Amino acid sequence: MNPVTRIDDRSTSAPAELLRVTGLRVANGGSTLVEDIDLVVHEGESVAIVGESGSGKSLTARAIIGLLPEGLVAQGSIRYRQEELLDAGPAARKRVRGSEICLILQDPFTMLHPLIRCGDIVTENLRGSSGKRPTAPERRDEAIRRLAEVGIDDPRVVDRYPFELSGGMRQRVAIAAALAQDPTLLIADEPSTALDATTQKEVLDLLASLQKSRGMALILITHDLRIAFSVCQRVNVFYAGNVLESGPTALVAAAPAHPYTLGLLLAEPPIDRRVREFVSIPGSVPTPDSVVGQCAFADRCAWATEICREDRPRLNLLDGGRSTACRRVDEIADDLAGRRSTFQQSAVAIPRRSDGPLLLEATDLTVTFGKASTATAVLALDRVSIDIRSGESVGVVGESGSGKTTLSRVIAGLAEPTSGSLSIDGLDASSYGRIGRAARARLRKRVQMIFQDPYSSLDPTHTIGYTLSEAIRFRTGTRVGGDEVGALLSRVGLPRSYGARLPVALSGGERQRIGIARAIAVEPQLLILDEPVSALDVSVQAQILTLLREIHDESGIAYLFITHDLAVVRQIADRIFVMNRGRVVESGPTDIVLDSPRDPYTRLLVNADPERIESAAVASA
Amino acid sequence: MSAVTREKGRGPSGVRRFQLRSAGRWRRRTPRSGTVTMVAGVVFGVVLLLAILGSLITPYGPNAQNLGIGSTGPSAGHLLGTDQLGRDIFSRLIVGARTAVLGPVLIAVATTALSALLGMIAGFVGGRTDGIISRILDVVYALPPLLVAIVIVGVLGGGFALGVLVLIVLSVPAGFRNVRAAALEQRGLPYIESATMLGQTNTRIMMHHVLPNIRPMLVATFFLSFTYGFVDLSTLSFLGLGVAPGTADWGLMAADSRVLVFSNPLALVAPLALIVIAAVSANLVGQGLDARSDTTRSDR
Repeated sequence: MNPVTRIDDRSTSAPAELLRVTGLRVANGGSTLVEDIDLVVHEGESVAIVGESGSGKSLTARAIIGLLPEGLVAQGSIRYRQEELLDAGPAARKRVRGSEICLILQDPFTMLHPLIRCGDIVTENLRGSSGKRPTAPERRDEAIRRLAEVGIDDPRVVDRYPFELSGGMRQRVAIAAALAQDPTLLIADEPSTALDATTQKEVLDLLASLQKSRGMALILITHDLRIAFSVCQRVNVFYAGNVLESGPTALVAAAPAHPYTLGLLLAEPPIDRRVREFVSIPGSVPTPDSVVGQCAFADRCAWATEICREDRPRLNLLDGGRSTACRRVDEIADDLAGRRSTFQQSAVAIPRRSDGPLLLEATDLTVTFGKASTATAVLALDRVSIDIRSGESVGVVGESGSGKTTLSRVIAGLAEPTSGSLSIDGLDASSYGRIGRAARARLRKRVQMIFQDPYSSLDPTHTIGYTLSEAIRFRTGTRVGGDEVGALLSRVGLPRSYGARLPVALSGGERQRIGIARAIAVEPQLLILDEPVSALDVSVQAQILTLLREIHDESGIAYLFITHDLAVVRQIADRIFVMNRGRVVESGPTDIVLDSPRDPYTRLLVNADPERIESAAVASA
Repeated sequence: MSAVTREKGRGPSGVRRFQLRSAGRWRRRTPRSGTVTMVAGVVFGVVLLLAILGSLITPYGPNAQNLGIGSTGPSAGHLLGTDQLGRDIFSRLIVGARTAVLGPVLIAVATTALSALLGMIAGFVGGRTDGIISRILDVVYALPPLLVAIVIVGVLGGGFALGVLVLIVLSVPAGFRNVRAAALEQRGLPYIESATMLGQTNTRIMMHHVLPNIRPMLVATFFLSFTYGFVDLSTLSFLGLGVAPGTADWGLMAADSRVLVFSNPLALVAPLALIVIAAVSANLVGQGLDARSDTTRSDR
């Protein structure tokens, strides 16, 4: 009897093992993408795979279902009901795929066939008990029944095309299609990431309830530990192609047994209070190849010693069916718990700054796309009035389509309002196009912007030094020396040598630092931040938030922080405006609005936060 | 046993190996396309070298006549034989590379420059400017280049310079459309918007941020218009509408050698083969460069 089976006897008594992945390795020629993955799923169990970008979570899912991108090679063992899948031929894999194991992808906007009606998408692969395809009326009834199962009660949806539906509805149709053959195992790859917060919660709730009612096994892939905790019974934490920790949700959530898991938990800012300081993990996520022969997390771990770098640690079983790849877990357990409780108690009051002079005043800003009188016209901003005082930090919160990005672009002078007035520092900014070059330059020196996507906000053909010196020259009007660029780089926490690099050589977090450096080089009075951290890994997000808070405290630049993330806005903004369908529905001090929302929409947003899902689950348990 | 260390059956025998069938196919494809580009580049380089060196390396002068021997087949003295006037065909082919390459290079340079300029203005500035430039070039695009060139050059009395000029005008719309689309794509990108926020003028943004980023498109435009220009110019020469009669030019030589098709077929085949080889190699080089710049761009 080998130790592996003994573990199973201990941890699970009733349900049989459905899927066992052992030593999975995925490589692309010379480079390793997934290093060594072990994963077990039992029948009817919901298991989460949590990891940041490059952790190998999606590739693991694709290896299981046999749809690896061309050129990637999987090694190791994937056993489904004791049958080895990696050895199986294409025919055998096809039999398992779809009918036994199904995959739901992230983006609901591209994964449904645009020319097939939703009813046909759902019933496309339906087979009767005899193996024959049901007749058209039967299929239609079945489609209506199955759409109802995923919460679409309107039978007319059967005849609609995907483009006629919202993102959340499409994701539901995709789920219904994936369930058409009643799979035993459903793999959902970030099913809610592309959706708005309120829709996200609905889709996750739906997946959780389907999993329970059908007794189906579920692998949920996500980058958000809180989502994993709220939906799944067990979690596996992936990092750089390795599993660092795995175990029952309750145990992992109560006391993480790996510094990385703790780091992930703490890096996620809380929604219910403002923390004194962010707990970030230094550095960025490595590639599996760069951490061979040592603990993958050692280079970023505060507790790492020599034994962490000797060779790669295997998963060690702890009490209660959980395991960790941390060698020092016994020694540092108290430290980990201590750090967590310090963080949980840390809270600071949100300052009330209402004494500064008025910096920005927008009155009745309206933006209409298309001809105003026609039916196709879209009202992106509907008489929005906001004000920002000097040195203040103001947040704008809303979902996609709320008009928050349009608002930021109007203020930045990248879009023109249809009507309404806007003044910044006493200058008229309601039409950048009409005010002449000198006036425009005066305004631009007062307002700068940080963009969401760190990958496209830097010109790929120019070095970092060139990009930054362009910004400095805009302020000073003279030639720029290397010293100024170097000073700017160290201000945002990067080595001076980065000036000679191209953006390609930088990670996402580093690029966002350059974006920040470029904006503050102009020394503006107002900085517009358009979702500055939402494209970053969780562990890097906290670093950037720390930097943003530091710059705000030191320089007194006023912030206009655009985000969909209530937890993040609580950390940065003193006052917020909540937007919905082009209107400001509620505004006020951040803590008051978030703690006791008055507008029904704000309440909906606040309740949709994953943190709330978790606390609800804990309360009901 | 409180903490069981998991031992996996990993030795050489314990590891199951599986190779996706598609993997091998994928791996083979990349070097092959690189090799093609390399070979095409070498061939194209040789053509360019011939154009530069010209009469310096030929065994006979291109216009040296030997009326005594007249038209002969290939021999040790004349590798490809001679034409009716006893001129060495091999030497004339080498010298002909210059006229063959010069015209298309002029066409490619001018077309690329004009396409870049107009395409960037139309794509980046947009609005009415875009509308005016695009509609005018759409009209030009509707004209069949070779046919119009034959008519214009024929009516106005022929000539190499006129042919080149007409072909430049007629090949700009294709390049313009590609550049415009690329510039349009750039316009909405955050790094362009950020340059706007830094108070940069449209001209500066176009020169410093749009132009470097659409370079792959310009390279492709250059080689495409070179190829088309090459074939079209050779056709004009063949029809007697290009270079002056008697010039050593591949198109003209093919036309003149038609009467030798039975006595010395090589005199006809060789210039035609060179036209095809030069055009195809230029096209392949352009494609290869295009593909290479694509992979570096998507690999971020």
